[in-house]
Amino acid sequence: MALILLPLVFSLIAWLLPSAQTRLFGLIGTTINLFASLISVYGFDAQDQLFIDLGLRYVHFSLDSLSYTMIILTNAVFFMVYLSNFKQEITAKKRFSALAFLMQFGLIGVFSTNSILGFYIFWELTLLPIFLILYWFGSFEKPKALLQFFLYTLLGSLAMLLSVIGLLQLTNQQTYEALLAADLNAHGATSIWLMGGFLLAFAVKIPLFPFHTWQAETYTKAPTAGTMLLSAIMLKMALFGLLKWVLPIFDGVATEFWRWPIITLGLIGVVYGALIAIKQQDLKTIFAYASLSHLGLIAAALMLQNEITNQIAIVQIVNHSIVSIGLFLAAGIIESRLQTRDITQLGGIAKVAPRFAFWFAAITFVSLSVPFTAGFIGEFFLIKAIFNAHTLSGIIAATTLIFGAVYMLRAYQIPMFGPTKNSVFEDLSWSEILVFALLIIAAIYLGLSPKCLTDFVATSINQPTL
Amino acid sequence: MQANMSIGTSLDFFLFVAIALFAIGAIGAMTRKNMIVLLMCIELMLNAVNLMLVTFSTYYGNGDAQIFVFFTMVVAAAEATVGLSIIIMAYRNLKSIDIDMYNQLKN
Amino acid sequence: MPQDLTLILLLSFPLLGFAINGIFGKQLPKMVIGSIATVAVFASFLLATSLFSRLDGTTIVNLFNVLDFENLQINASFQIDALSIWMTLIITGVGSLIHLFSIGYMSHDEGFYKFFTYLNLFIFSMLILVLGSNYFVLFFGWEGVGMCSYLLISFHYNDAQKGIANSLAGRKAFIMNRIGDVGLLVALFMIIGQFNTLEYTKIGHLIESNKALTGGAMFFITLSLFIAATGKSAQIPLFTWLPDAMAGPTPVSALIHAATMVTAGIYLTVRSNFLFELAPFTQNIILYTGLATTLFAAFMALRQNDIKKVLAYSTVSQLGLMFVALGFGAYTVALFHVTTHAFFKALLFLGSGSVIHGMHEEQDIRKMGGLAKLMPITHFTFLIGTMAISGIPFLSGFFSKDEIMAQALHHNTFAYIVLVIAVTMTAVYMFRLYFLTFHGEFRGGDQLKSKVHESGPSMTLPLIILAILSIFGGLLNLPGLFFKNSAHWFDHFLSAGTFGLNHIHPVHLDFATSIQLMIFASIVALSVLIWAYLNYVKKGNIAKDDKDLNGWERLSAAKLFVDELYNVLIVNPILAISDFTGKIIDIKLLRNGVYALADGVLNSANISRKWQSGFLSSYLFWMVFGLIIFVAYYILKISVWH
Repeated sequence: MALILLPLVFSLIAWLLPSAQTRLFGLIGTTINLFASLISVYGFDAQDQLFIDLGLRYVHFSLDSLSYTMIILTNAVFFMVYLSNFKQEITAKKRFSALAFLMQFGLIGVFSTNSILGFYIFWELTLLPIFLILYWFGSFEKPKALLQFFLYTLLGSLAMLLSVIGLLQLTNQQTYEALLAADLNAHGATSIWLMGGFLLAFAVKIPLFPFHTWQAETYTKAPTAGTMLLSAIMLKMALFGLLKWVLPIFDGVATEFWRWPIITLGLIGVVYGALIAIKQQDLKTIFAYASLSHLGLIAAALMLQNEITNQIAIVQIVNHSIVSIGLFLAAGIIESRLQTRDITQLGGIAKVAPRFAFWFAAITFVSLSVPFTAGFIGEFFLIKAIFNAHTLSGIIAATTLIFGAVYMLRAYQIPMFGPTKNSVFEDLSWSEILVFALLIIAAIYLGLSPKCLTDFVATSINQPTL
Repeated sequence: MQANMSIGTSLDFFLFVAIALFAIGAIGAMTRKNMIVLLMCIELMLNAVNLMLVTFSTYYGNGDAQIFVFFTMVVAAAEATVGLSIIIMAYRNLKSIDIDMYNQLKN
Repeated sequence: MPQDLTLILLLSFPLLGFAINGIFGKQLPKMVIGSIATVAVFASFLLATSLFSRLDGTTIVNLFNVLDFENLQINASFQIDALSIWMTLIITGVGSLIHLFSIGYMSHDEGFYKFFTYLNLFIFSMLILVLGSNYFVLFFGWEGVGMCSYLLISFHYNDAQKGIANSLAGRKAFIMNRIGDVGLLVALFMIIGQFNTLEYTKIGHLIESNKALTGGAMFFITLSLFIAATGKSAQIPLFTWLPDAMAGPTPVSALIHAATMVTAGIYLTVRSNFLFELAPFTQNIILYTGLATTLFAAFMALRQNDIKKVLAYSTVSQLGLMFVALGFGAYTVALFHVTTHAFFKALLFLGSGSVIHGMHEEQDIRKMGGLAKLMPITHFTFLIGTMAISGIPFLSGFFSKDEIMAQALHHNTFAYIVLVIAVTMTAVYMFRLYFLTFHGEFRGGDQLKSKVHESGPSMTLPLIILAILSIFGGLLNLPGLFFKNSAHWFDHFLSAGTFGLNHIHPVHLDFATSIQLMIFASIVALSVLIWAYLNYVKKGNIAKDDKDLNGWERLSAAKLFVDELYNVLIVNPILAISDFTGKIIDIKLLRNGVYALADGVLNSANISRKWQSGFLSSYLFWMVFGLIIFVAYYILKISVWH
């Protein structure tokens, strides 16, 4: 229970604390959250399911191994975000800390709730903090772009609300187990519409082509911490919702209907994102399109509803978070030192900042899914799943390996190599090195032993099919 | 309710008068520019309603409506008072009692 | 020491070298760094010889389980058999010589510790590649060497003039390798689909017990495997990265692009022999690709003027030769040539490194000449390497090439003719390279001439050792004409000890044909030697300037315009598509489309906003109006409609 409520409490405290302590408190708070979740999972049996009663009538909570994984991921991401942005001004602002913790509360709520209404409420709850963070701390010259992000996401959520209402009307059930048991196939066309509502919300969030237009601009103009939060954990809500809620509940008529359209959109996103990333000039934009490309693959693979694929998808989700934090941190470091992210203006940084060159290279290789990293396992099995379903699609998905090499190496080489254009570049501080090191260690550990994660989540992912 | 024939067919006359008064008041409220005239029209509408209440009270021989008339008269009086105070305050503000000048609630 | 412990130590030493040099390299003195790296690889070599001497069939060492699903288990397990141990010996043996060479060669370089860190990591990845017992571990090594190759090619990224070019060369290599990797990935998917396992021995047994596994599936699997091999071993069409990769330091070229990494494709094919034997059509594809590659690459080498570029195209050509052997199903012959090629090509590259070092980084052979007297050891060893690669009788290259030619003569006369042409061209460009570099007058100017010197012992010792190996390497697999008892030792050794190969033996020609073949090959080689001597030394025909080249020569010097072709057909279109997609589709179409929708909403809001006019009278009017509608509706409902 503490797991769920702690962030809310911290949010209030962060709001009340004097500004001088905010930064330290943020770090301590996220550390406490992380350790709390790690400790509580220690005695947890992977097959089990914990029910938590917070006394609310319409919102129930339950924790199984998938929820635990996502909660630990959330806490770890927030911890990393704080650690990596420790030297930036953003973490010293009360508003940011309070909002970040509130967002953490919302996210944990999404991952641990057992009722569909709770899912919706917490989903919406995360939207406002991130919007405010982007508004107050981002560099949006025209509010129009930010408004686009907000309204777009809200529109998706509206579709989801309608679907939730529809579901409640149809089945009169709220909790996860009851919804699973309810047979939606009897309603035929209605279930297709309902699933469509959910899918629209997820498609905007992930994002899925063609609902991705908000992503590039928002990621680029948001503060580094904001981008990390957006891409490392917020969109995982959508993937989680897809995996745990939508696909099992609507299994049957609706999933058959939506399967290949969504897979197609995902694969288009893979190639499309990679293609555009090749010629972009802003580092963050390159990474944003790279993210689009990687997520398209995960989304497509999830739609195949294959046990093994789902387990590996979790590995790939964790890997994507690792890569996001790492890449956007690198971009943020360059931005904070040189006030520009335009690679045409950068060059030869490796010579003046060798430590940064090394860690940036390491995270670049992790993003390229070289063996020994979790990304390799993820991409191997996800592409294999698509290949088994449809050969040509699999080969198209596999081209992400090639394009990834093209744009990532370009993004790395142009700023780092060649004649030095920027001679003043403060090398990494301890907190940044620590974050990079933790990320690389996590990636390699998962890459060598993905078993520990796949075995952990196996039961709770495959449970619905029981 | 037992219909009292004490008014008889002249019920229609009373109703016509009341409706006419109400219509005049309504149209006046919609079209006149002077705020005081607006107040007077509102009073007119209220009195038309009073007339109609009394008429029906007599027609049905039931005193309930007449009690309600008292309510309406009190409310009308109070509202007239407040309305006139507002007109005086508004006049001090914009030096005019043309209702079209007070449109800052637009958009 | 038990075999599994030996194997684990064998793999760990390079990894340890990588770790120690990587973490502490900055503080350690250069000699220590170099020694740690070289000793690590040499220790692995000694352990490999130990395993070699105790070789007994196939031993599998399972380290840990990576993934465990119902129908698929993936283990980090390794296999000790003739093939893997032989490759290990080559990798660690030639590798340690190259490490030793690098100590002297890279001594002036400020990234000294990084170089050895990457070299050790490369050896580690390559060992994983050849020692794995399943395709998954192979893939780990495969990508690992690709990554190390990238790091090492773009090693001098800080160079003021060539920094960007170096990094672009590295990028090109990595991307072309990745294209091949897609092939390997697809092959792995299909193998899992067919066999439900990735272990070599299990697949082999499944094939043995179920002869019905032929047809379309095998064709696609082997084709994908061959695409992967094409990328890694620089065959047509994925070969242009190798000449560009010469941008890396010379020891890198020697190790990665001559002796080890590029042979990964051949290793893959030999390892999967039981799959290729079921797909004769793919073997034909391999054959013709190999023929084309060996011919065209040899043609391109004829007019190159950079000492390393000549050797690079020569490598591509020799690799083509190995694939020709594979196309005939003569796996042991191909691997024999891998071995001898490792010896003389590493020798040639290191020799060229010594020359470049002595010439103070000059690589254009038109500026060299007469180095025979100035750098005697380098000269003599380079000569041996040149003779070996050109097929001068009784050196190692002679025997390995002869075997391949024998296969060609037996199976496919057209192939034999092409090979003769290619081998002749090989001799031509190699002797051209040799004579222009070491004989005649020094053309680099007097100032440079005074600075030219022979290299130190740390560089010449490996050269001498490799020269000895190049001379006597042929003894490994002598044709049945000499020493009947130990003839074809390598062939027997490898086929007995490797799964699948014990059924496949390369064809042995009869006595008469073999002798004729050998005599003919010797005549060709010796004639070229004499012609080259007369042409370049006696007549003093130094390489012509660019403007004097005739049509064929221009074509050769321009490498048949393949790079330019790729740029036009592939690179530029993709960049254009990326630009177009990014600017037009994403921004104009989609993003502005969404903005237009948003604007539409705003506009309609603006219209309906007009209703709030602020005029009291209009509000009243609408209220009354609405009221009237309401009342009318109800009255009508009650009285008229029912």
